[in-house]
Amino acid sequence: MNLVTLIFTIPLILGIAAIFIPKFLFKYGSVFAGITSAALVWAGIQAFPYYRLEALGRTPLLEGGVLSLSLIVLTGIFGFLITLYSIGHMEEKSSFFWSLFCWMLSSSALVFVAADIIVLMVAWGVTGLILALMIWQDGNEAVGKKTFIIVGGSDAVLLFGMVAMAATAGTMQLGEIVIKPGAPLEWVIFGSLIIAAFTKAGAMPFHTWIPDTAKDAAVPVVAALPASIDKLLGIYLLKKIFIDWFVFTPGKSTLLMVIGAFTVIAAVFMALSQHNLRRLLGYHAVSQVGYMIMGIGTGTPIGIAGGLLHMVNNAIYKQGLFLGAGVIEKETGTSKLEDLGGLYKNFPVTFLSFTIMAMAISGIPPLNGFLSKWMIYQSIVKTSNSGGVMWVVYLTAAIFGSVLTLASFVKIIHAAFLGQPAKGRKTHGENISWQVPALVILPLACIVLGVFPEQTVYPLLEKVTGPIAISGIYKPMMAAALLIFGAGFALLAYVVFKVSGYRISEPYIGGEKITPAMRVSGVEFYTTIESIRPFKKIYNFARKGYFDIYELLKEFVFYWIKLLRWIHDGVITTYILWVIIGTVVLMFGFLK
Amino acid sequence: MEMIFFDYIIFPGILFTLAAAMAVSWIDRKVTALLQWRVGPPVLQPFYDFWKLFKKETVIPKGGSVMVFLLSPAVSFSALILVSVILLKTTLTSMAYIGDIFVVIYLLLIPSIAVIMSGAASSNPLASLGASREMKMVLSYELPFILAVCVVLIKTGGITDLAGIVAYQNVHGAFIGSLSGFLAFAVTVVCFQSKMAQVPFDIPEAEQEIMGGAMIEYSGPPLALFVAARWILMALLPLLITMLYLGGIHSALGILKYVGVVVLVILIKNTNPRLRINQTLRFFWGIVTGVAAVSIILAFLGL
Repeated sequence: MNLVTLIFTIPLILGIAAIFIPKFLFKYGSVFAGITSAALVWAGIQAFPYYRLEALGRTPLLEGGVLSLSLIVLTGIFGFLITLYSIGHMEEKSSFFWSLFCWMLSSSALVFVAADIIVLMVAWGVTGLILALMIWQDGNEAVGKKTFIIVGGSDAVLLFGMVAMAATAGTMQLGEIVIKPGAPLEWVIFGSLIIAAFTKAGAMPFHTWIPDTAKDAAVPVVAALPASIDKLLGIYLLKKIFIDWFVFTPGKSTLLMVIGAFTVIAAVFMALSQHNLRRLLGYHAVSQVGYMIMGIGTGTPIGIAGGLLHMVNNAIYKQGLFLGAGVIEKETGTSKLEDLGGLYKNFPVTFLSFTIMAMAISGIPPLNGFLSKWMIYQSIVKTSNSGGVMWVVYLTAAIFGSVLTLASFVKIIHAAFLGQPAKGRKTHGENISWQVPALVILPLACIVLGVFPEQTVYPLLEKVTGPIAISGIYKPMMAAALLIFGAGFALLAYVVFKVSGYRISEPYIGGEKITPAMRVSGVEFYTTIESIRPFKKIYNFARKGYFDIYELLKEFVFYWIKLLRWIHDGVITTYILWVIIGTVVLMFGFLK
Repeated sequence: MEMIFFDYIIFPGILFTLAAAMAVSWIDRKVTALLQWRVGPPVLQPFYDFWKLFKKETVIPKGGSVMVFLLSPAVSFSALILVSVILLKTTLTSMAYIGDIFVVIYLLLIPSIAVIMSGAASSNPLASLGASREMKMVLSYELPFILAVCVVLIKTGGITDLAGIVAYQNVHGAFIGSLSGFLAFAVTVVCFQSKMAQVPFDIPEAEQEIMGGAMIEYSGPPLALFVAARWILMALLPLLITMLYLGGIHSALGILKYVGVVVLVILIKNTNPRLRINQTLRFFWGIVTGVAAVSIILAFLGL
């Protein structure tokens, strides 16, 4: 089958067919989404031996190399895992969900293989529209509107940038575009395009739709779009803009690095103070984008490779974390951290899966999050050779951001899984069946990609960026082997000294009786930070929405609306007054 | 392959590291005793303590996760042995081994995570408070510590592997000799004091307030592993400081420098009262980070 059939025709037809599935057969619609996912994976795998998409037949509108192929395969795999998860997770609803799901996968794949500006624009716009429709489908009107306005607004900016770019470069073929430094409108085009990439990926200050969507939209929707595929889309476009279409200049690099560093730190500080599990994860979906931007912003092969790898890693563990949060929410009926606690016993699979991915996102070796962060650190240090001083700020932001990430995940693990259960929390166990593949495969991928990069990701990344030339020292396989061996050695000591014959006793707090009022939930872990200057003020501003571009825009629009309302008050005498004033102004104009 | 496991189990891995850590622990207790006009324990006292704990019964708190409770000390111990092997092999062979400074920084986070997880798995409000304090401590000292490491990176021109950093100092002189290097050294000593949870930063354990914090429920072999991890940390962090700022421990002078750093840590511990957690946060994100930032500026100026 040729490429167009696999990634466009099949999903389109299946999506249309899915509309006609009656509501009570909702779960069977998943077959359509499964076939679409399989079609994407199949397309990627078929072309992989040739490293070019053209192996599946030439079309003037589509092209792609290893990066595009990898992203199509990943989109297919993610689509498949989330489809399976949705069968177990979602209640009966309109099968239009599956139509949207099929089209979402298809339009994302089309973005990755678009050879032409029009194909890219249409496919890009459709992904944003589908996201809003998926949110609306669940009745989250306000969140859907916010997402649609921010993402749709950025699409309009992208359209402007693309048209200007095509005019400047004199071609619509994406593969042929090169904007040289000093070209007319260079910065305007660059700015417009990266605004779109940043909004989709969720970099600051265009991020504010993500935490809201993360909190309120259906879990499979969040896991599929803002957590994973939107990241692939945004960072793919960023890579295209910064590396392929524009010539590297220190000015553009600095812009990206500053935004990246700021995104990492600011978003993770917001995450620290959250009480809602999904909203907290949403802020991390923003924060991690900063690393990807910084990696690509260095412009070095190892940085670009690190940025792209972090994009993939983040898509894997962030998706898994949201799916884990979904299991908890479905069974306990809440995602408020203070109402959870002690879930490890009833949710063993979710706990283990969530913990591994939490460690991966915090960059703990030897998991995949550390590897990509480490590559990005190497690339940042490498930029010191060019004589700048800002790399210290970027490096500090990146490493410190990762410690802050750890802190917020420690909070989740304590509050949701290990700490004492909240009063009245439902205690029945995890009811998972179709959710298992995602909860097992995603953390396994975190381990495999982290421990065996030379056998898995390095060769692919080198095909995209050229030789990576790793300068630092990190042997993940050996580190992992020795870590496991050391822990095994300690456990052997447990066996020799008969720890298994342990005695269980009541927790001890100096002879006092532990009462429910003494429970430490974990959500209050960082109130110390929230109460010291200047954080107190910053958090207050954030809660009032001063950093939310949507709220600011709303204020601005409402201000003008208020003015217009004042003018249009519906009283006839006011209108007559305006007519007279207008006539006088016009007459003055003519008399002059 | 056999060589790797010999390195890991015997020298410079588990056995050697444990012995060295016990020696450092003995120095700690002896110097502390001398400062308090006591005689202090015999050389083998740390070993007796360690051995005694291994023979004691293990008690596990009701309602906590047994798996996490028992696994945490093992993971902490394992990560520290790996760091020890990295640092000592790098010193012995003058070649990079397994990981560079970033890998070491991240591996050194694992013992803190283990403490936090164990506190969370103890089903005890005091242990939970200890876990929360431990995490806030990590947040406090990591920021200035990263800046201090940046001073080293500025001076070496971006060499991240430890062997390279030591070799650079052997050619150009130890970093502590420069003003920026000295400030970075001072910042790192203060940061490591809190990483080791030594007074004045023993806030996560604070026996008089929260009775050992995350350690409150531990007994028997798991406690022995945590205690060993504490000793290893106390032996390793001065070694890392020596490698980063004092030119490593290749010579007798190098070993003297190392012992000097250990004694400095013990002196700070014995002459200061404990801070509160909010004071610590303000102290590290304020003064210490400020000094670290000054040292960075000085390093860029070549001072």
